[in-house]
Amino acid sequence: MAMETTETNQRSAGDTILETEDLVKKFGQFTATDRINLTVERGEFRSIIGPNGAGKTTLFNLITGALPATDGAVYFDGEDITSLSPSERVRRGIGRSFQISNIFGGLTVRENVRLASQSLDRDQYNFLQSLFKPTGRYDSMNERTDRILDRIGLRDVADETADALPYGDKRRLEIGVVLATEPDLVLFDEPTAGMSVEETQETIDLIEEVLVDQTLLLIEHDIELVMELSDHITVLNRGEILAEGTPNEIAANSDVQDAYLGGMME
Amino acid sequence: MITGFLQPLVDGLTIGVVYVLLAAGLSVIFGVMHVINFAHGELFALGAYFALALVVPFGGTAFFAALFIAPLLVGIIGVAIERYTVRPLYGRNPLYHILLTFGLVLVINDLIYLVWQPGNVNLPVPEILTGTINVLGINASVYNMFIIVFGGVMAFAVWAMLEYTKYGLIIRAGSQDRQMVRNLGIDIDRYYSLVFGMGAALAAVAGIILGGYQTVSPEMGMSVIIPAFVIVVLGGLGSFKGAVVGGLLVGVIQTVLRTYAPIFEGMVIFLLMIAVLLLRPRGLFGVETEEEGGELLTGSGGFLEPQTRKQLAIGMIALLALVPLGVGTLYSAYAVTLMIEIIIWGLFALSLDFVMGYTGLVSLGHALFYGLGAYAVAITLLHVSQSAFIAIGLAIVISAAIAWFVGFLSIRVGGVYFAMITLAFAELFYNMLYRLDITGGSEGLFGISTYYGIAGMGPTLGDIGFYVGPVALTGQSLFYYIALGALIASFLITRRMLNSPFGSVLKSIRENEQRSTFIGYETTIYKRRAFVISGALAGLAGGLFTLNAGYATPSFAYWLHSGEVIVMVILGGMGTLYGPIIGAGVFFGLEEILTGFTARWRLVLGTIFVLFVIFLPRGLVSLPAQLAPYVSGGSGPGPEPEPAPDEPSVRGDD
Repeated sequence: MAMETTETNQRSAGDTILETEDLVKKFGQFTATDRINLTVERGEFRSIIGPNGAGKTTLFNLITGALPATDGAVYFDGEDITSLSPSERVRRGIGRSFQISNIFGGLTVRENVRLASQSLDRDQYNFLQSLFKPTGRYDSMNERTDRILDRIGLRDVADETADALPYGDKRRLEIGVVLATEPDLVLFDEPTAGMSVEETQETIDLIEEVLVDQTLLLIEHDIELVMELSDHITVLNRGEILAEGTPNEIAANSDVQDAYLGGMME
Repeated sequence: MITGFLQPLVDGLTIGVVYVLLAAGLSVIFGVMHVINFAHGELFALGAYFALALVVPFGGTAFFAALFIAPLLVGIIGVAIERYTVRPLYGRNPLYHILLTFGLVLVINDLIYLVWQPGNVNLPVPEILTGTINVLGINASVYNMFIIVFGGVMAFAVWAMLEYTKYGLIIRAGSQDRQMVRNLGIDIDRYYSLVFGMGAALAAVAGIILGGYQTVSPEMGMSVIIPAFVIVVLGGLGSFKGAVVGGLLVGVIQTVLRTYAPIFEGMVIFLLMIAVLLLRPRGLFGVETEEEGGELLTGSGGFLEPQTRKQLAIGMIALLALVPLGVGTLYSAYAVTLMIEIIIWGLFALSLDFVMGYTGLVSLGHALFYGLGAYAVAITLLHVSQSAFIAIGLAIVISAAIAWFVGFLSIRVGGVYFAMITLAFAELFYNMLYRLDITGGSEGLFGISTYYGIAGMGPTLGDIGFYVGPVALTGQSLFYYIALGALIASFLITRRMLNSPFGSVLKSIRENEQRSTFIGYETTIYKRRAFVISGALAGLAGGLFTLNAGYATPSFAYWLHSGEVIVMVILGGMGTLYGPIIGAGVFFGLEEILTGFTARWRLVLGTIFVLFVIFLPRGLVSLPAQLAPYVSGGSGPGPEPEPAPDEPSVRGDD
């Protein structure tokens, strides 16, 4: 464990990248997120765990802007992004991956990645260009697309329809799409849900490989995986933060054991 | 004073109850099956005609018997429609329901004409229901009271059935979350026939009681279906309570306005619906459910190889360019007139495909922009300048501007709600055309002439003529080339746009709007821009028509036109740009051929749509691929499996 600690120190040499301040989300009478104060350091691998209904995905939706917050604030790179739209947050550097492979099924693999890459570049072209100049003639965008296709190992199938890919490759493609927006922070919502042991390992390897420089925020049910990967773990329960710490601290925390781990292990 | 106000209120409630019965079935059918049933109005009319058939030979007292027998018959027809036409489409793109039920409208409506002849007929009511009674100090007609009481009892019975029986529970649960009901091991599909039949029977009851109040005519279905949709959307799709409140509200408002402010009568319900949807995107009583009920999947893409497509396109254009040369020798000048109409509608259909097939926005009110273009040209030529260029330019600019405005208000709501709000805007415009002086009221604008130039310099088409041997190119034939040029230019421009970054984003929105947002696109802005481009092209189409024909009438903006253009797009194959043009050709071609054989051509056309949607759902452009296995022993590309709209939602909160 000593080695891992050193690595953690190295990775989190930077400053705070994401901070939520008394974040609240209510659905009618029900409080899904209850005054959450979360701080994530740059370069960190943070996992969010908690029993079903703890408000993990809601928290993700608040951070990415998919849902408006009822109260509180979200800061990214020191900037208050609480009132920004999802797409504006993406442009600030927040990437998001979804539970089920969320790609453009009817488009080709290349188009999938290129769309993400294009989103990054779009301010470099004027309106008429973006309306009339064929996508094939944007060199930097297409080069970046090819680089990412290489990195996710899908260059060979670049012209196939995304729907035609096997499940594991769809996952790879989605990670490639997120990567192509060049995010500083990536939120993963159960990236290995419904996968076999091998597929899970492959996906994790891929995440570690291509997103090594990014700050990662992960929702995951597989406790072993979380313990193995995370620098820090935040445990949610009923919309509140129950505990926070390194994997060892969390494993030793009696509140967590009572509320969550105990229940899981029965 | 009080009586003066109460009278329109009683009349309004009377109409309101009819609307409630009509809208309740429509709403529940949508809520449970997600079918937008345009044929509901025709079932309503059918009820009235069946009653007529029973009452006329046996006299007024048979009315009571008819009130039960006719809805029963219509209910059986409803069950049959669900069984044999709607059912094969479950699990397919809900858009096909629009095509299907639109086809059924043509079929049933034409059957009514065939059996009962056009014109208004009175449905005799029993003597006991005639005369007036004194209620609360006013003289009310007995029949009014009968409608309110009987309709109220019917509505109450349906409500109690939905609320307190096992069937009702399953139906309500099905409208909340179909998949969940299936997971419970209940075969919800079996209940669909029941719901459809019940909805049809309710519509029939509404038709009968309204028939006794006003008159029975073959157009009665067409005239109620749009208000009924407005009520359903206003109240919230799938909500019975919404249908009741919405129906009464619209009935009363319409009737009261007829008395006090007739100018707003036709418009106010659309304004009301637009306002409600902007404030409460799911209607007054609509609930947000886990299952996205309003989703309309669109898009498919072409089947031919790009090279083949290009060769075919060049061949087609060459062929089209030759058409006017044969006038006078091979065929009459009418061929050119027909071809101009096909080209203009092809352009109109292409404009719709741009938003529907490529961006996933199903506009049910595209005739609005066609009409705007037509009237902009007519008004410009009559009052501003006789230059065709200025008129067409203004038509494009005005249509684009209105499209921006409509898009600004409506794009925030999705799926079916978007379809309905665009329909409302179109109907609003249609009603305005009747009422404004500048648009010439119901007569429209006519007697328009133009020249092709600017600032008074330029020829009229009558001035020019090319003569080579027996071939003469004059007037219409010259305009033919203008229209063809506009179509080709629009096709090339939109195709170019779709290959650009802008078009890529549009396709990404169609494929997966959520993902598109989360790679950084403000999808609303892209959708709005696409809508503006589409509106401008539709305006161009309408403008060209008026430029050539020399007139504009309110019917240009009628909802049937919007429906027809959707039919052309789906018929040809959406998401292809060229498919809709073929669709327009086939539509008018069929109409032309059929009218030659029978006055009941719409019956045949409707039947073709129904068969088409069941057996060839991906459009005519998929025909080569579908036939390939039979022709060449299975080497052709088979049709791709369609995405099932029932797939579990991507969300899933923890």
